[in-house]
Amino acid sequence: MTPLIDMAFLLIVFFVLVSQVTSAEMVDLSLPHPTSGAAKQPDGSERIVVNVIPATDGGAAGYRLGKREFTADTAGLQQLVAAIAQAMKGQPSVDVNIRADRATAYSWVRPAMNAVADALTVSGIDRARARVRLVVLGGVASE
Amino acid sequence: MNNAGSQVQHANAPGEARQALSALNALAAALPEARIGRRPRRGWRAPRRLRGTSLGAAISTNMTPMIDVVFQLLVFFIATTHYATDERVIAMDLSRRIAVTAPSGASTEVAAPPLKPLDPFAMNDEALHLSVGVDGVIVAGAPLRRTFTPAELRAVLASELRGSAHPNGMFQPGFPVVIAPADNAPWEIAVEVLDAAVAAGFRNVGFEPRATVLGNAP
Repeated sequence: MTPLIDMAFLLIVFFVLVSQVTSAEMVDLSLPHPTSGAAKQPDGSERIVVNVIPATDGGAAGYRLGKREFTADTAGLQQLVAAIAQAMKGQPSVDVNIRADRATAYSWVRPAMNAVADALTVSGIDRARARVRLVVLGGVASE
Repeated sequence: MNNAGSQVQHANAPGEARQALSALNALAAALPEARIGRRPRRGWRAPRRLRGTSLGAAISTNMTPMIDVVFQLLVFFIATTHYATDERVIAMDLSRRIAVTAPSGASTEVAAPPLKPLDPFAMNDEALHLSVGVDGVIVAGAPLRRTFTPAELRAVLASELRGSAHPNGMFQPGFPVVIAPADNAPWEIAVEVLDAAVAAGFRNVGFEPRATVLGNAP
């Protein structure tokens, strides 16, 4: 009986930790699902995930980097730029994943892309060393 | 009558007393060893008549409810953890905000027949400009100058790309494609157009250069 209980506890601890990590990185979104497969499987390289938190009317309720949330206004975006620059510090090359809901208006996603570019400028990183990656759903769309 | 009844009671009493006494004796024999929370002596076993009863099993903890709860928690966390297994990425180079993802079947340049020289008058624009409306209608700038649906755009871009399949195509794969979604165009449509251009074989696809200053919220 004891080994069984040991295994069950180990599994519980594993899933508790994993679900904390993933929920910090992944806001629950319905990602865009493009028709053709131009999108690639992400490689395992170091990455920063910026989420655009959707609001009900196609706007954005804010931006999220890791566990930190930023308001969708000028002050919040400046903090986001600083946070991205901080996260990039000391990493040789970084990919920034941008996750946005499919219904979010483009004008709310654009600041997130601009923030990445600004973070590079702020921290003086060569732009060739960083890339923005747009996160979409894989597989063939049903439509 | 009364007298006889009391005699019967008196006659019964000694038997009951004997039974109760023997039960107490049994308890007294069992209790000092079976008290919960007290470490049993090495090699202690419950008295034979108490084995299998609650008194005999009082030393061991009942594990079943705990295991039930543990398994409930396990199932809950397994079921609620979702991974990003079905997520894909479209990479964009930040230096010029262009997509650097080559199409998966990137054989357009391998063993291509000699291409005709490009008509200099056809390329009077430095980039193919695609304006995307809220409803998904795409207005292509020069040199295409047409409106498309995303599905049409996909086909037209593929057929206009110069390569082994289309030697008379209008565009080289490196020709820049600039996508300018309307402010309130859904992100899904913007990504769909970007995906169409990248899938057609263009390697220089990106969103329009910034229209806003640093931290300028919409």
